[in-house]
Amino acid sequence: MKFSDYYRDYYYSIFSRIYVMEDAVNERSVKRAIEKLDQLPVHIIKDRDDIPEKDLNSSTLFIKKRKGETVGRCPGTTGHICCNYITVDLYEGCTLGCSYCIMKGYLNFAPITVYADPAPAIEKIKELAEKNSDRFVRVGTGEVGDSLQFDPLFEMTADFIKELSSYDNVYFESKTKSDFVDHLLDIENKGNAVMSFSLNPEDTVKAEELDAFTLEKRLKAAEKAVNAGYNLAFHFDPIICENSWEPRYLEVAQMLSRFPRGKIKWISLGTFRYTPSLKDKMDDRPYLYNEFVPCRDGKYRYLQNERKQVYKKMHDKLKESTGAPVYLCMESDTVWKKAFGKVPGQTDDLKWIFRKVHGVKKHSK
Amino acid sequence: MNIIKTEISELENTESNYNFFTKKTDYHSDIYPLPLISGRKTIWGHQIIQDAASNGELFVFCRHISGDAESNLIYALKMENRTDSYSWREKENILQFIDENRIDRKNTDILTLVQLEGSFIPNTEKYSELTESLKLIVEKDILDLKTALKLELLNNPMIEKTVDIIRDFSFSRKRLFINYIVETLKKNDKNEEEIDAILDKASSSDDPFEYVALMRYPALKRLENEFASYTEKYLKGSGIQLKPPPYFEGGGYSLQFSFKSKKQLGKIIERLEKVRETSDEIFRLL
Repeated sequence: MKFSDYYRDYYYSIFSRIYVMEDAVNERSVKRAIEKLDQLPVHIIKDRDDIPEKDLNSSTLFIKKRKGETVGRCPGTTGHICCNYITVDLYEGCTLGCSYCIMKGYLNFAPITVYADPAPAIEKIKELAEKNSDRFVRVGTGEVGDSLQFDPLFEMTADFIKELSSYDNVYFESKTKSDFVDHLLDIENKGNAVMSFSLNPEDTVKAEELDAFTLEKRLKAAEKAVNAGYNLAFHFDPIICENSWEPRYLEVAQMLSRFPRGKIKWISLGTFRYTPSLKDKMDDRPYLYNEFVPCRDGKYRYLQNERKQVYKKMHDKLKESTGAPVYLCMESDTVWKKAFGKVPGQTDDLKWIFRKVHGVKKHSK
Repeated sequence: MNIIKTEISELENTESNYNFFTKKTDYHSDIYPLPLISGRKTIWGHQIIQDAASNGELFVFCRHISGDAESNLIYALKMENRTDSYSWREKENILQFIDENRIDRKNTDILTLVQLEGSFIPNTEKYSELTESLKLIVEKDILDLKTALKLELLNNPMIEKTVDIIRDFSFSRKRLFINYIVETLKKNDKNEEEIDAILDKASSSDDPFEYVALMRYPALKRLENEFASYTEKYLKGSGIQLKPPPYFEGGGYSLQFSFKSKKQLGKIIERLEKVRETSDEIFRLL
């Protein structure tokens, strides 16, 4: 698909300048992006510190090559069950302006950072797939940024999908709150690639995900993706438990019945949680005044008694509307048992998801 | 810098410029720190000059300096020599002087003479935004600045009520109490009358802190109260300690007991059997 005015206007509304590390200038993805944003000034630099202080903000696009480990395991959190997901940092930071964004507590660099050389990560995933031929490798780019918000510029997701399409045990996931899937629809061999969408009720999107795309746009993008042959996944994370959470969230869960059964590979659930450092960086939002208690990993969560009810209701509704595997993100075994009656290792449709992949270290975030 | 015997009546009114220190410097007619003056303007030592005048003196010895507002302020701060111990009012006066005279806010000599720890200018700006009654509360050290800023949501009578309730609390309890009040207000979008009613009830309750905590964390407090009723009902006087996980976050309870005889052990087992039979009542709390 051609780079349309729609994309061009969108990116010009976000970015005012580009900084590129000297060693990344000749990457294909960088050339593509610079060509598409030819009205922006491009500065070639030798060191990140060469970016002047006045440009250390999210109007700056900073492009570099990834040094060190390119692929890592989700760091998880003490005392909570982790799904052993594998992550690739491709786009770091985003401009969607979600009030609850946990990355505010972790990222200390304001420009949007793009790691422009996908080849080492692709090679590492292939190596993992071969080493772990008896299990599935679930890997995605949406941990520290939105997988697709900037992808029409760099087109790196296509490289992953094409290169990994011949590996039956690899599920490469692109997680987004955008509807930017058009540039990926025509890829011939998609393998098990998964297009996934973070969901919240429309009024929560409007109030808390200020510059993200509407719920309906995301669902329409999901329809395009599934019609083009992609697998789907959905993430209800964070679920924000206001008084009227139940009908609003259950309605969204019901909307997923429009997708063909079997094409939704997984759905994850997580209620809003925060670290004390994140709370200090967050705007004063009404949902922060609900009842939160400190948990074993130092994060604050809703009372366990409330969380289990939220998860149970969402699980039951999603099972009814989609039949897809439903799992919890970063929850204790107690909550798993109280909400679902068992832990993932005892749940047939989750065993393959949670089975640990060998040969990959935890990401040090 | 010349030392000159100066006629007090020749000096400008001591209420004028540079008079931002409230701490009194002792004056003794036979020996006193020499005030700094520039022309007819007193730069430092207003109190000494006033005391000398009250003492019937017509002259004081002063150091005469000539410089701009910035260097005069530095001299004054050096003479005062109280880094890190200026009151909020004094810091507010100093900052006002800095701004009125367009002195560079980043002048490190001034910043370090006023305060080595913390952020003099940002915090003083916040202090300046407080109402007079809150300024007084901070000045008297009843509340720290950060906590006082939270009280801005309340009107003056409610602030007074709150201060009356928390006056004897420790600093950490004061902070928590105010957090609970302010968060209860924000959480439920309560109006002033409702918050006023909560303060009245807190004030008349046996434990105002617990009362306000209940308003802020009703679900957690409900769990705690239900658990307390359970232990009261089944374990009172048994010597058995039953503990929930912190904040009811976790999978199990812990038990602690000791015994000195077979008979005592038998009684404990009897009680534990009762706990086993009724344990659904507490497992549903988790």
